[in-house]
Amino acid sequence: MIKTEIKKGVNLYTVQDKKFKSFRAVVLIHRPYLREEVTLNTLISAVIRMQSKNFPDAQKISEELENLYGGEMIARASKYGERQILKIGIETVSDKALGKDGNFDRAMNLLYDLAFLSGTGEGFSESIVELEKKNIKDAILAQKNDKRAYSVLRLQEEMCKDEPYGINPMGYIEDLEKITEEELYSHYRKILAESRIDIIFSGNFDEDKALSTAKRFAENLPKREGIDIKETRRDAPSEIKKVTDRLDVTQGKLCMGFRTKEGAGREKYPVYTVYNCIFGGSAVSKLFNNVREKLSLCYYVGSSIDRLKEIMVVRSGVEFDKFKTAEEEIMNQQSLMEKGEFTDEEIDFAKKYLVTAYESNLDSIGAMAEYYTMQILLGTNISIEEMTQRIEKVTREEITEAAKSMKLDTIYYMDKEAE
Amino acid sequence: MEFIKTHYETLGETVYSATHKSGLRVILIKKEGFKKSYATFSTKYGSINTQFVVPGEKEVTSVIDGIAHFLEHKVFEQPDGTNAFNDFSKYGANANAFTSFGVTNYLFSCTDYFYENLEILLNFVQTPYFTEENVEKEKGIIAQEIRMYEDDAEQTCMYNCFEAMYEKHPVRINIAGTVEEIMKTTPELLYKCYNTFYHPSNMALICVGDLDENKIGEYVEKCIKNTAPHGEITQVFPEEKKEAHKRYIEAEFDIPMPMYMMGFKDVKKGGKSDELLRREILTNTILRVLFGKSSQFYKKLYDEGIINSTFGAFYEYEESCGYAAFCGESEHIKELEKEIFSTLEKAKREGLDKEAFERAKKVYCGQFLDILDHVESFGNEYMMSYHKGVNLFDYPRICEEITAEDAMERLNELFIESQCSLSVVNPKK
Repeated sequence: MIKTEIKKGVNLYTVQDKKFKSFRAVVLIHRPYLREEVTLNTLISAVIRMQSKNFPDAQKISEELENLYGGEMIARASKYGERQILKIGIETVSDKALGKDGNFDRAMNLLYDLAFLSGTGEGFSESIVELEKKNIKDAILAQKNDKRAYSVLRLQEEMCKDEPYGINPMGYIEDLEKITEEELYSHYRKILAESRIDIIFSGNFDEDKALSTAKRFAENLPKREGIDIKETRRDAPSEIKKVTDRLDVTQGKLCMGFRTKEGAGREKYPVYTVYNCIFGGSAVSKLFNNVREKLSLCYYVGSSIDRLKEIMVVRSGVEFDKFKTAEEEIMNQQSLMEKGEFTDEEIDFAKKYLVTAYESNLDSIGAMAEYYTMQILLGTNISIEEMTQRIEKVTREEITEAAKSMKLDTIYYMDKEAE
Repeated sequence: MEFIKTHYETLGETVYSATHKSGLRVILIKKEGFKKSYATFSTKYGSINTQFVVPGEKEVTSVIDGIAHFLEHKVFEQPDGTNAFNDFSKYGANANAFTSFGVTNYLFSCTDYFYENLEILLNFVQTPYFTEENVEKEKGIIAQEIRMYEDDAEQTCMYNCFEAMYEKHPVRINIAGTVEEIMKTTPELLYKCYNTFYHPSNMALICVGDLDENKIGEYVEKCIKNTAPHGEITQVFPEEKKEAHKRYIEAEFDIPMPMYMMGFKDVKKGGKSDELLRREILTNTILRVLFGKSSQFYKKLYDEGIINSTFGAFYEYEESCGYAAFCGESEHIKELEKEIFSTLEKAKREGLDKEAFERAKKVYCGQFLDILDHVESFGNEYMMSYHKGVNLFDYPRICEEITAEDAMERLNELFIESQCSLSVVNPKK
């Protein structure tokens, strides 16, 4: 990844590969993860899709995307650790694949408009803001529909009740209702003026054109410090927190949240990712092979580590009468990890699994953009190749040490309604 | 094995294809410079193939629903008690399988040791091992999976729509079957289906990546054992009437906003590659022009809050059935239904907007180019099309050929109220 500072607080990152037919350009606006603005940022990500200075309504924007050969618009406010990143981007076919010039420039004109000239030029229109408020309200209510994702969200809320991490990434209905279009527009102008902004290009594009595009994007932006965001850290409580929700479901969900050591998602990440892969993060894992396959305790079970927040979540779908057995078995597998009871073969499989996963990123412009977005957030520039080399070097002792640092914090059960 | 090379100049893509003496079709889509390789070993056999004539027999065999999916789960299990998943792990590959209405697919992707993984893939799919005990154990796992679908309002909404559209066609039943039915699975039944449908002549090996066709050929020669001739399998589908079975169906779930799926049953079935592609592209073009994000319909209904960003319209088909559908979430399903019909009627009277039609063609051209960047997605699309008798590389050409006039004919034959069903899932009171 090549980094070029365009002006203070505004950077260009490029990852090029000519084998692709498409390219993606994304503007990242970095925000802290705060209750006061999480709902505002979510609403902005929705309003941005609807209107910009030169494309006055959603229909015009859609027409333009069709003219860009079915270009895909990206407008999201995503949670990364304890940051909210507003991503505005476009993915479309490269001029080279089309055999003629023009598509790149046309796509960048639209992206500039969407990211930096959202609204009418003076504000957001009231009807759009009101409509999107309603849509976000519905989306917040609909979070409950996807029980798998909802169970993880509930665990995070309960486990990190008084940390920013526990904030709902979609925002809150009570906050949403109070937002006016003036307030929203001034928030939009504020985040454009003060936030750290990164522009990432991945795929098949021309480096010089990417640079001139970034310069043009930054032309009217002031220099900025860019807020340095760091996740909060907590230790697991002495007593494990247990939370049960009762819902109208026919299958139970069991989620467990673990705290771990500082550095687990950063310099120690190669070790932790191998640990996670052996424990529950893959189809070669102990949880998958024992808890799901051998014991048939769960329909799905898996674990993942949030690199920025440095916590691990185990999620599973279980029968109501198997909550206890499944929980004990998951903890049993964790204690085997702590005791070093995993084979060299398991280590080898996990490493191969991870190397494949990382190398696969090189074949997707979206995955590449995601990988490097994480590098940007971590403040590092480790290539995919280097990452795979570091994974290869992880030792058994390091994995055991990592396992020992995992401390269970909260258990969440999604149970059926009381009869 | 002799491979035939086809080069698609404008796309810059090359395809190698051959037929093994067993009847297995082997295809390589060469992707120079890509790290990842992908292989799919698939059989033209899915959840809807529950009635068929076994080659050599005269009587029609009827089997329980969900058996193709059950089989897919069990094929991974090897005679030594291991799971084929673990063999792939040795070489860092990601293996998986899925069952659709018309296809069962075994696949892996990897960035290294492709040929070792290919050998594992070809071998394990050809080594069925079903016992009373291992079949019994699987019933619990599959029952859990079915229950998970039953908890899912979206899945329910979709299958209810199929149930309403089709009176008899097995597409109306969940791919995994029902808990009650799958409990009747036996090893004998699994073997019967396996022996009928997992013959190489009913299968295809499709590889995508920076690979060598001749080396793939060598592994096929080495691993494909069953070269005994296999007669043609006759698929039997119940006769469906042209009209939808039921106009309306509803269910209740613990959800905040009503969900809908409105389907139009296609009267056209089967056909040659070009014909199928034409039908698919034309239908999708109609849906995009009339109901896509740049349409008047979308703007009006979105602004009025009748639809939200969950609204979508698409066309799906198998050889024996097909449908166009609208789905999403809305508080105003009645108004939405009315608007869909009035938009269709207006288009039948006045025709389609020429500019929008040309933009839609541009979109499909771009989307085709884009999917070529995705080794796995392209492999899957190609494979699914292949089993329907469609060559996906003809897609850009058909896109160029279609006209707004062609679309009118399609509009008039598919979008008719008597062929329409509406499925709604309401929030529990």
